[in-house]
Amino acid sequence: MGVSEPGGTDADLVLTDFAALFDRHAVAIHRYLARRAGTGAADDLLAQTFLVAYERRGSYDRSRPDARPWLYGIAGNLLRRRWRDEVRQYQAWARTGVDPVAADHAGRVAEAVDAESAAAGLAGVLAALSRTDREVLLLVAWEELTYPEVAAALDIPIGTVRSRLHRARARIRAAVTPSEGD
Amino acid sequence: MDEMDTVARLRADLPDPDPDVLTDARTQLLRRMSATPPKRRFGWRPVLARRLAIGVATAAAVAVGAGVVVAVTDGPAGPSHGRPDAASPASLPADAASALTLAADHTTRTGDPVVGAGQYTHVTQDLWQGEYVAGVSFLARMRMEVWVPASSGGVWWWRETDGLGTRFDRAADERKVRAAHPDFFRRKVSVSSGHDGAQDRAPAGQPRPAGNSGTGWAFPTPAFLARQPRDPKKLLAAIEAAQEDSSRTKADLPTLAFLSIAQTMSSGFVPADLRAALYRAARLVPGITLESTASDINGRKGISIGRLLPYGYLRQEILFDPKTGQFLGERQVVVRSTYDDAHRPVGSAYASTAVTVDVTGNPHLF
Repeated sequence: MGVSEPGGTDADLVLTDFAALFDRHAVAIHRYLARRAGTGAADDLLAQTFLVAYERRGSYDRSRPDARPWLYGIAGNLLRRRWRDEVRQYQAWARTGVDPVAADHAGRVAEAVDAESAAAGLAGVLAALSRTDREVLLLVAWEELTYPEVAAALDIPIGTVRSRLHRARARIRAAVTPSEGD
Repeated sequence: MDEMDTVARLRADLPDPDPDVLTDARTQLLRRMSATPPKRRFGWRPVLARRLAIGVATAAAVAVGAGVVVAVTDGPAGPSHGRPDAASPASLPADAASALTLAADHTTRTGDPVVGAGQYTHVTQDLWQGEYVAGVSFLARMRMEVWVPASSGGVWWWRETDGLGTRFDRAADERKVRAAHPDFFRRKVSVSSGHDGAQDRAPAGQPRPAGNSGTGWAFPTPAFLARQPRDPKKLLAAIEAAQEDSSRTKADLPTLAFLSIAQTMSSGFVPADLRAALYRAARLVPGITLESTASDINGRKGISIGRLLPYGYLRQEILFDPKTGQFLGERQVVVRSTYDDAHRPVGSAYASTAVTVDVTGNPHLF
């Protein structure tokens, strides 16, 4: 994504056509923000993410043709201020079986309630993960970033990505297979 | 299905964003873009790079401190380092309009320094830029110089020096950046030459026609500046008309014009009559404010006139000496927090460019 599309690489667009960069990635970034913090928060933070990115375009690493990790990193910085809300939502989901984020949409409450109870259990695990482990896990599971991409997004070494993800996966595994529980 | 698939299915069916949300976010971005002049490192640098087709002498790293002996002459506008330039309190203007009028009057009276045959107008831009690396927000310093020949056919010289310094809020921040990106602390110098404000040689050493096709308010040449109207109203209209950003709105044009004025003045080789006209044109921009009569830019004090940029995060300022009208530089000050760790603190300069001008001989950079 974003590498071989017409109009050049993201690295080109960062310099020459930032609006096109928005068009290319806004939906994905909004989706990530919404999955993390709810649609309302995503609506607020989408513009903010791209404004911050635009102001920081001078420090974009031109050797990286795909800007997604960079954008996810900025979105993650903005989400950091809302991590307590994020955790509260996972906790509410685990407690009630209703995902407040899914229920946020009119007419979707039933669907949210119908969600398998395993999902509510997982939400409880997500709430219990450290903020940094959860961020790595969700960038890989939801956004399908590679280890190097996550490392670039969060500005951490690849080894740290690996260890955080390992920790998070072990917790999830323990939750979905209770007999191995910790 | 492993545990990652299970996680991947959580909230997987959230709908796409409301088109209105996308439109609104895009509009905010376009407004911000239209309010931003090319950053300095988007200034000469890409133009040079384009004209150089990457390289030429740019890659020839010159030894640190290699140099040019600058022969400063004592022209009327004179050397600007360390001038005791605070006017007496009684003469300080009370508002932006009178400050700009004063600057214009002084500029007309003072005129330009005399640049003799074979001499050069040497402009130094000393820049501090907000950077964000390894989770740390800090300022980095660089310098850009241009030597403009007195004769229209003479050779132009450019020198860019990176890695001149950093400012960190905490010592631990500096250690972090040093470990992750030592490049920021290495001095790099690149030099190049050309004609008419444009590079004139290709990397392979093949001749490349000189030209100034890239000229404009963002990258002015003496010939371009000579063509511009001196009437403030016509000048402002010309600057507004030249704003090419398709994302502009009519309401943004005066702000864009103010930014163009700041950038054009920063070029350092605007003739005195046009400098005076630019001050008078800035006076016509709505929303300008007198920020301070004693603003400091790289140790020099002067008057700063500001204009809040669209979206309200940054304020663009121009600074000048109230006694002479001499342009001291420009900067962007953070007005409102973006709620982002990476941003500079409110009230601090996000980017600043101090401009000094003197008259030298040929620097013979290579």
